[in-house]
Amino acid sequence: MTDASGKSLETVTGDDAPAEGTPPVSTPAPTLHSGNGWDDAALALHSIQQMNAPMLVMLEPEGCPPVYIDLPRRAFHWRSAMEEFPLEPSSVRIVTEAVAVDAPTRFRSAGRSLDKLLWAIGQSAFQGNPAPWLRPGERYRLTSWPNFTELNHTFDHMRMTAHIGNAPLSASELAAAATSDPTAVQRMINAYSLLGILKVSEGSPATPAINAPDQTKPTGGFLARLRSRWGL
Amino acid sequence: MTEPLHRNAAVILHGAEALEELRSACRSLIYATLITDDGFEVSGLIGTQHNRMASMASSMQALGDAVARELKIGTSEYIIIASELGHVIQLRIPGQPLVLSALFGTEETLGKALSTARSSASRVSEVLIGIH
Amino acid sequence: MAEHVILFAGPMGAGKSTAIRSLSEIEVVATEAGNSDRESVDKPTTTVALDYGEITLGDDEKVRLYGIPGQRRFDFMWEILKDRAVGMVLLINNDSPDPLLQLREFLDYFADLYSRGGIVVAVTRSDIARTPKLAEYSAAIAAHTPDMIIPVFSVDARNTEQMRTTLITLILNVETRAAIIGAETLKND
Repeated sequence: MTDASGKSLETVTGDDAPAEGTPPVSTPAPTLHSGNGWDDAALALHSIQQMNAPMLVMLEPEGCPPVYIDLPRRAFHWRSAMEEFPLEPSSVRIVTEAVAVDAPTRFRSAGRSLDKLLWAIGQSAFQGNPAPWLRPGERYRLTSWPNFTELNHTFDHMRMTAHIGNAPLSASELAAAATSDPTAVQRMINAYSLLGILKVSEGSPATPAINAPDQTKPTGGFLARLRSRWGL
Repeated sequence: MTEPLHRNAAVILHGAEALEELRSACRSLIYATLITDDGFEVSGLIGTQHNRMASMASSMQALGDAVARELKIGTSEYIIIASELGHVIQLRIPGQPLVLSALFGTEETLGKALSTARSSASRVSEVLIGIH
Repeated sequence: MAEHVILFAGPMGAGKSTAIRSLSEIEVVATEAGNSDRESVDKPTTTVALDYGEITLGDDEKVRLYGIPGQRRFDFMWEILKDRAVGMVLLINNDSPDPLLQLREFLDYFADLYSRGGIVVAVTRSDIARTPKLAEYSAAIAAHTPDMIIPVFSVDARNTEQMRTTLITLILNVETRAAIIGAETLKND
């Protein structure tokens, strides 16, 4: 496995490295020059997932151990804990390799859920601006919820998610409906788009939810009291 | 894995005999069923929707046990539901994970129904000690 | 006295009793009996009436956590409790013989709760059986009822934090859905 510069990845060692070498096939990623290497990585991962082609991807953030992604198995392998995930690496080297869809795994363990990594990359990339593949004004609705028990999330993420779980909303509509910070909204939408759990629609009428944020509370603030009970 | 009581032919047979004896001793008996603690019918006398009643009897017994445990009054020996048209009496078979549940008509006094059901339960217990 | 009833449903062995113990502030009331059906699920005891736990929110407000028996023969207990319920955590053990079938059966039975957004699916033992994946649960839900998005999480029923996330999501989804439907009604009037 080599990157565009021809540098061999066999020099990368560690428990999470592939168990065996692979033929050199690589795809140079587009460069956004934003200063955050995750922008390029997010764009590359989005493109690869759009192609729906089985691939292995290596991401190597500047100064960090490489991350290996096994797309067919929706898993990633990384020697570090997620707490060490670099939020703004100056660059991320990207190497891809096509594999057969039923190829045996190259890794010694099952790895971690890819969603954890995509969530972290999606949150970090693009500085809270819309991902380049998203268009202004389009509306988003969840096709499935993210697995919050494994993602590093806040209560605000859960609130915003509940809104687009029940109605299609644009980023600005969601910020208004959930009374959330527009940057946080956009980071979450970027991440969900990368996770592939958004249905995108355009030109649909505005939903009433945006005009009535949290007006009706049939349980009378029950949730707020429960969270307070738990010190959350 | 041992055979569950509701599939053990000897247990089913002895249970059925005990229920027949109960019917002979008590003319007002409308139905009776012998069930496992987790709601499977071992033996039953006609006159009820057996499976559903077996499950409900099991739930009721477990709730009775939970209340007795909560109040620290030992284990619940029997449960009575006294209604306008009949009395349900339910009691554990001593030493067995089994419950006897029986419905008597109101012409029977509660006391008589209870003492008859108790002796049936004891009889089932004695017979089963030998085979289980 | 305000009460908020939350049901914990799912097949035998899915972790309902454990989930309630993870959340309850009181010692859980259990109604376990010896399990005669070891062929279906090999565990020594099974819940035959209910499990009951509580979270106290104030002098006059409690969250009541009811675990209902997993076996269909106890569905009268489901019936007794479901009309009082705000929502339901549907626990499915990923190593059961046909978890997606179990999912559909429970969704069918609890369709009222489902339509109010009052169900969260919590998949247990996915470390033991790696398939079906969570995405397959979501796909099965979408095929079963398009337009309804039910949260599906992987959980360890012993993990209090994960069970709290599950419960918060459930209540949040019910409240948000009711707010949106309420706003639609206002607009149409």
